[in-house]
Parts: sequence; C-alpha cells; structure tokens
Amino acid sequence: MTGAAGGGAILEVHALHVTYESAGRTVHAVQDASLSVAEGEAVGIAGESGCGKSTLARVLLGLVPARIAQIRNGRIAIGGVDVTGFAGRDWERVRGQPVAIVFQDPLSFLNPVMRVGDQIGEAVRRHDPAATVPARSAELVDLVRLPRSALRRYPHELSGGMRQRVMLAMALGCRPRLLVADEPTTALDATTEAEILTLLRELRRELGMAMLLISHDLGVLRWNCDRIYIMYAGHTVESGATAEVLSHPAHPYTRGLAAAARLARLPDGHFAMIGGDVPRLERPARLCPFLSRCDAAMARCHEAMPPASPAGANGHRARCWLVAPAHREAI
Amino acid sequence: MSTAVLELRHLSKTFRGRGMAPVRAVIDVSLEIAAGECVALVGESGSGKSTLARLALRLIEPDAGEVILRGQSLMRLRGGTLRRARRGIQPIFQDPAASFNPRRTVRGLLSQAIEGAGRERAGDAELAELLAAVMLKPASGYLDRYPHELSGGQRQRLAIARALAPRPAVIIADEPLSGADVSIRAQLLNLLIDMQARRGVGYLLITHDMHVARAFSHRIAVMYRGRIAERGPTESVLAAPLHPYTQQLLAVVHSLDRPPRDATAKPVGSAAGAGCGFHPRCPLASETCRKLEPTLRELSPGHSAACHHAASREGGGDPIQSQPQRIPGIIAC
Repeated sequence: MTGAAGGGAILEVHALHVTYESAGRTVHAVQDASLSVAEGEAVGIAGESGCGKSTLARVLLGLVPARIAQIRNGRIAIGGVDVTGFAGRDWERVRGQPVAIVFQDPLSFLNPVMRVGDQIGEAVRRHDPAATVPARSAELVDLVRLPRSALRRYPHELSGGMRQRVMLAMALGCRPRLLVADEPTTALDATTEAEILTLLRELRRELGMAMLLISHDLGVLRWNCDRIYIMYAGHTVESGATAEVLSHPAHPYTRGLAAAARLARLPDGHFAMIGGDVPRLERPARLCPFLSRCDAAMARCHEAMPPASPAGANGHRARCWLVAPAHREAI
Repeated sequence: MSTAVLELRHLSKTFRGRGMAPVRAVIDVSLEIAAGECVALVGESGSGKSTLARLALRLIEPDAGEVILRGQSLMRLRGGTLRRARRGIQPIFQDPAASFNPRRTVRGLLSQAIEGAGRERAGDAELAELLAAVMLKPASGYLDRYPHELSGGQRQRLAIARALAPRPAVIIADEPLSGADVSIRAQLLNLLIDMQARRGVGYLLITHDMHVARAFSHRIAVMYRGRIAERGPTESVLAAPLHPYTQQLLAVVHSLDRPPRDATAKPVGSAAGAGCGFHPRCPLASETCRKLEPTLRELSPGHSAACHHAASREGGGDPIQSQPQRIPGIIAC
C-alpha cells in the first residue's frame, strides 16, 4: 500500500514481514506492512497495542537485535539505500542522519547521571563533527524552546515535557531528514501533549523535516499528519490522506476504531466498541486478520486475503473485499 | 445536596519534607457525589487530583476537612470500624498489574475482597456473577488463573470486578483508562455504565481525557494547583467554560472533528505566591488577580468558578463536539 509519494521518498517499506523468536515460540509481529514517507511529509501510523507499529519503527532503524527479530520478507529503503540486509555498524550510515527517532519514555533513554548539556553535546560531537559543541547545544535547546539553564540540569530535575524536549534536541542535533516519533506524547498530560505537538509542527515547518508519527490516538494523528496508515495485527489495512481516511473510513476496523475514539453512543446508551479480541500472531494470517471481529464479513472473506484496493479520493486505499474490484464486479 | 453518598468537606493536605518547600497539594476542596452520579475530576499532572482521591479513600490523612460516606464521617473512625466503613468506597487504579497480589488467583483476589467486607464466604456462583459482569466468561476459565496470565484489558476488567465485589456506594477511579486502547476504553466505560444503572454506584473519575469526561460524567470539577478552579454540570462546563484554565484545557483537546489550538509552553516554576494561582498563565490577569485569591462563586445554576473575571464573560463555546444523547438517560434505564 505505497502511498502517493510524489517526489523522492525518504522512507519506503514494502511488504515487510518481521518475526520475534522467544522461548521456542514465533510471533509474527509485522506480517505485511507497506508504507512510504516523502521528503518533508508528515505520515502517521495508527493502531492499538500489539498491532506491530512499534516493532515496525524499531526495525526501520535496526534497533532490535537480529537474534530477536528477523526480517522474513520485504524491503526497507531509507533515502534510497536498501537497509534490509544491514547488520552491526552498517546502521551507522542511516541512524541519526538521515533518520532519527524519539520514544515515549525519555527517562529510559536519557542517562540519569549525566547533565543534559553533556548528553546533547555527545549527540552533536557524534553526528555533527564540524560544529562547535557549546554553540550548537545552545542552538538546539533554543530550537526546542527550553531555557538555556536546562543544559546544566540532570534529567530527573526536569518535568516530563521538558525531558521530551531534551530527547528531541538530541535527535535534531543529527539534522535528520526524517524524524520517527513513537508515541512521543502518550505519557504526558493533555496540556503538555499539546505543547509538544505544537512544537513538532513548528519544527517541521522551520526545518522542512519529514515525520513518521506513531500513535494510538487518532485525534493526535488527525491534526498532525498529511497521510495516515492504519495497522491491524501486523498489516497495513488502510491508508490515504488523513482527513479522508478518518472521515470516510473504508475498512471495518478503521470504522470501529474511529467510532470508539469518538466515544460514539449506540441506541442502547452504550459506547460503540470493537467486539472480540485481537488474533494470536503465532502464524501468519492467510485470510483478513480482522475477519473474526468483522460485522461486514462475507463469503469471499473466508476464501482469500483481500488485496489493497482503491477506496476513495487522494490515494485512499484499503485492504478489504468491500472495496476490492473483484467484489465490486460481482455486485 | 442531601442525597450525596460521598461528601468531601473542606479537605486540605500539605506535604512537608526535610529541606524542601512545603507542597500544598490540596487546598480547601469540597465536592459531593450523589448515588449513581459520575463526577469527573480533570486537571493537569500535579494539580492535586490523585492526592484528593487518596484523601477520599483515607489512604492518607488530611490536615483539615472531612470525608463523609452515606452521612457518616470517616474521620472519627479507627481500626476495624474504619476498615469496614471504608469498603463503601473502592478504588480502581491506573495500573491494575501493580495493584494485585501476584501470588493470588482470580478466585483468591475476589474472595478476599468480598470476605474482607465482612460478608460471608463467597461461593463460586457469586464470583461467576462478578466475572460475568465484567465480561470474563466463562468464569471457570478465569477463576484459577493468576493476574499475570491475563491480558492488560482483562486485568483492568478484573480490577473493576474487585472494586465492585464489596458492593461499594462509590468508586474512585484514578485514570483507569489512560494508556488503554480506544476499543478497550469503550468497553470499560460500558461496564461502569452498567454498574451505575444496576447498582446505583457513584463515581469520582479522575482523568485528563476530556473526551471521557464529556461522554461519561454528569458533572465536571476542574482542579488547578490544589484548588477547584471550576465545577458544574458537564454540558454547561464544556459549552460555556467560565475559568480561563478550563478554556485552555478545552482548546488543546485533539478531537477527531475539531482542530486544536496551538499551545505555547507554560511558564516554568512560576510560584504564584499571592493572588490567583493561575495568574502567571492567564491572558486576563489583572492587578486584582495578582493580589487577591478568587473564591469559588456560583455564576449559573450549579456552575461555579474561582475567577475574578468569570462573571463578566460569555463562554467560549464547546470545543469538543457536543454529544447528542447525554448520560442522564442512562440512570433512567
């Protein structure tokens, strides 16, 4: 489901299949995910716990050791470079520049016994050897709207929002063309979340940087991404322009997700929800992974995996028999 | 309100530590919850919401004020009498995994909650009914399992079952849904609605999710720096917020249907000192605000705000789309 990536794509993922091995069990965390991010574009990945979105983000940068996570199939290209077969130090060619990542929990990322200024300085020295470290560090804290005094602080002395800004400053120190942000505001309260999201919007405008924003919060993605991918059980099931996908969802999963996010009421006074449980991921799905929970399932769904098909305007696509051409011809 | 099942009267709590400035976490807060009513307590981290919850549960002692459950003050009770009375208020915490004894099975956890309430031994039939109420069916599949063998959503439902086991009058839920996926959030809210309808349970729901507050509560209380900044009927607070802080909270909500306003960083470490606690962040702050602490005044029926400028202003409209059906219908059904 590669989207409309007009100019050069900074990131391209095609039919990615990733498995985890642990205690003799195999988990197919990502089974068939395809996406692309164009230079300067903001793209969202939405999905619930266990849908594979964070695995995807980590595999993109080789952050999961090969003995734990294996790419079984598919291809990842960053800035035109195929990184699928990368191992060890190969990753240094893409990490930080052109792609940097920020996570949900800055405390587990920052060194607790090192001053913030030293940590930002280290990132600068490593990724921007030509820069004067103190000057560039000061520039970076200004960029993320932190007071310069923050450079002398230890991570525990800062609030959650300020720590998130520190992590962002370190990522920006690498001058990335693509920032991957994995649930960057999930641990923050609504006010601080809004501040960080506003900052990300401003930074993208100032730096012309592309962003891949991973979130379980459709409201956050709605106003911060040009395009969106919906993931379910390791599959990218729907994609397109954010407003189009969220206002006119084609896939029954996206419809359920949007209704639950709106806390829509059913006639009996209850809130709309998606019944059933997510499928087990011990073997790859042969049929639509949403089949067991889908209230629109039909005979065709029990026969074959639906292909990604056009589902609306602006490159809107869904992997569902409801929109597949074969089904349309039949009715 | 004479029908209140839980009354918090003038509660205050200051935390003091060696070598640090005292933290006034809760300052003269009063709040009432009626049978079958849900009051949402909203505000940012550090506003005192969780401290208020712990005071209401009498997990910590207030410096001043009273907690009154079904007309009986809990403040003068001690030992076993307090423990029994306190079972009328049950907590649900954010992280269910951390609140279960990992060495007890589901059967053990629920029996303990029922028997601890001074009731006779819990039979499997009663346990099955509790589990069915939270959609853990069939009970035989869950009774002998340990909390770590359940999924996150199942554990959260077990936490609700345990809170319901002693048949409480009020449940105090501290961010029970934060971090939950939206489909699980809807499922848990549906359970809370059912219990409200069937057993008339009242809720104090602490949340920073304005969507949940809007969809589920009858009344909203907004806390800022230990005080109630505004409280009133949910519709009225959302449609016409009186306090500038409430207006700011609502403006930054990321809803699917309305864009949020840009948020600028709040000033850091601005100790307000005298006057209104919100004045360093307030666009309307005047000389009066810097000098005089505003009191909570009722400005329309049941709707109060602690703001010197509140009376002279119209509300800013409802930034979260108004829900066509409102919750009072639930109680009737």
